Amino acid sequence: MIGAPQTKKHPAVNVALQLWSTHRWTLLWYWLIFVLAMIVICIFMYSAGPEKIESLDESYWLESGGFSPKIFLLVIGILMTPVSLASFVSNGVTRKHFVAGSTMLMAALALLSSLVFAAGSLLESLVVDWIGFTVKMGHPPFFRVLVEQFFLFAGYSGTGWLIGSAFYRYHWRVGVIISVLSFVPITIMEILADSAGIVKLLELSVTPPAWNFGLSAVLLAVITAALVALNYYMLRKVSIKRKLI
Amino acid sequence: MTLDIEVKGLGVSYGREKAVDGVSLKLPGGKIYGLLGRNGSGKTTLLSVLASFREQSEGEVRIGGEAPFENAAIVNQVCFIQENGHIAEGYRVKDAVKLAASCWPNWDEAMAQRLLEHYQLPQKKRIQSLSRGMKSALGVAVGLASRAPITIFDEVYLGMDAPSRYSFYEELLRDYMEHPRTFILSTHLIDEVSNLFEEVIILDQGRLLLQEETESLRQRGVSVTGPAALVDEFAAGLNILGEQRLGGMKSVTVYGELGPERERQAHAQGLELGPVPLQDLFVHLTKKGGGKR
Repeated sequence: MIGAPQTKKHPAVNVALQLWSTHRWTLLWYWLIFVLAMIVICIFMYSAGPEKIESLDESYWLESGGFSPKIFLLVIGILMTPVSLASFVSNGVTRKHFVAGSTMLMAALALLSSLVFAAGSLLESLVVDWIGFTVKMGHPPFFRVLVEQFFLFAGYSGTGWLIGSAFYRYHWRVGVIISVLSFVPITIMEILADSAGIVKLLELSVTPPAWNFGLSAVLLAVITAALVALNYYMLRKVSIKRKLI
Repeated sequence: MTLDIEVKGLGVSYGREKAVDGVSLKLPGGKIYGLLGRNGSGKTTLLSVLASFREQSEGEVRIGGEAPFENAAIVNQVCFIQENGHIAEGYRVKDAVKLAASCWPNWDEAMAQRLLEHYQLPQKKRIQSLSRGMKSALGVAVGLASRAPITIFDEVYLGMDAPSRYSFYEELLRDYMEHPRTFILSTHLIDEVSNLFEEVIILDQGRLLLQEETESLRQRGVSVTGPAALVDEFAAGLNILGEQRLGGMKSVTVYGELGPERERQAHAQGLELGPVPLQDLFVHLTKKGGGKR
C-alpha cells in the first residue's frame, strides 16, 4: 500500500509559488536595472535646467518609463504556456489549475510592477516640487496610477500569454492571426487609461472617453478578466506537446 | 491505494489519421503491465490519454471509476514519464525535483535523493546540459519517487546504459514489492524487461492485438523443431507464426496451446518442443502479414 498522501498546497497556489520561484530573480533584476536607468535619465533631464523641465507638461517617469515594463511582462506572458504548461501537467496538475496559478502569478507581477511604477511617479512628483520648478508636471494621484498601471501590466502579460497559448495550441498561421487580434483588447485598455504604450507606438490619434475613473477601472478589470478567460478557453483541452523550449 | 483502469472503445485521431482505434481493455490495479507494439502502433497515444496529456476523440476512459481528463483527483495519481521528459530545458535538476516534490501527493524525497545520487545526477546542472542517459535517469528518479498509484514509463530507459537499466529494473521491482501499485512499462527492450511483466498488452496499428498474462502468453508459444517433413506434418492446421529452415531440419513457431495429446504425439515423433521468448512471439504477432491471431 502506498502511504497516506502528504498535505500539499492547493494545486493552483502551488503553481503560482513554483512560477514565482522561477521568475522572482528575473523580475528583481529587471526592476533594479530599470529603476537605476530611469534615475540616471531623470538626473540628466533635471540637471538640464528649468527651461527643459518646464517644457514638459507630463510626468517624465509616466510618459517615458511605462513602455519597457509592459514589454517585459508581455514577454513573460508569451513564454508562460510554451515553457511551463507541460512541466506542470506532467507533474499531475490540471490545465485549469495551471491557468489559475499563472493568473495569480501574473496578478502578483502586475501588482509589484505597478507599485514600483506608481512609487516612482510619486517620488518624481516630490522631487520636482522640492527643487521648486514653477511649472508642475501633470501627476495623476498615486492610487489612480497604481490601479491603471496594475490593469495595464496585467493586460500586457495576459496579451502575451494569449500569444504564447495560441502558438502552442494552433498551427503557426492561426497563431499569427490570434497574435494580431490579441492586441485589440490592450489597445482599448490603453485608450481607457490614456496611457503611453501601443497607442503611442502606432501613433493612433484617439481621444480617451471622458468617463470617470471608477468606470474606466471597471472596464479595465473586465477586459483583463476576459483575457484570462480566453486563455483558459484555449488551454482547457489542449494536448500536451513534446518539449518546445 | 491501487486504481483500476478501464478503457472502452477508445479512439484517438490526428486529423484524418487514427492513431488508436476502438481499443477496449481492463487493467486491474496493483500489477506491472508491459505495453508492447511496433513504432506507430499507438502506445504513446494510449498512454497520453491515460495520463490526461490529451483527450480521446471517442470512447471512454475510467481510472478508479472516474473520467481522468482534467480531473484533479485523478491526474495527480497518474505519473507519466517519457524519454525526453516535459520539464523545461532551462530548469536545473534540483528545480525539476523540487517541482515534482511539490506536486505529487505521495512523493518520497528520500528515495528521490537516493536515486539522484545513485545515478550521479548533478543537482545544479541544467537539464539541457545533461546527457540522454542522465535525462532518462532523472525521469526514472521522478517516476519512482512520485509513488503515484499509476506510474507509466514510456521508453524512458532507452538512453540509459545497460548497468543503469538493470539497476532501474531492480529499483522498480523492489519499490513495487514494498509499495504495490500499477506500473505500465512501454518498451522495445522486451527481453530485458519481460520478467517484470505480469500482464502483456500488445497494440498493432492502433488496435488491441492481445491482452494476456505473461505466463499464459509464453505458454501459447511453442517452437517445434525436427526433420522438415515431420514438422510440416505435425504443424498442419496449427497457427504458425513463423518458420526457419536449415538443411533438412525445420523449426516452426506455433501460437496456441498444443494440449497434452499433441505434446505426446510430438515426443513420440522425436520432435523437440521448446519455449518461445516473449520478444519472438511479439515479433511474429506484429510483423506485417504475420500469422493469424
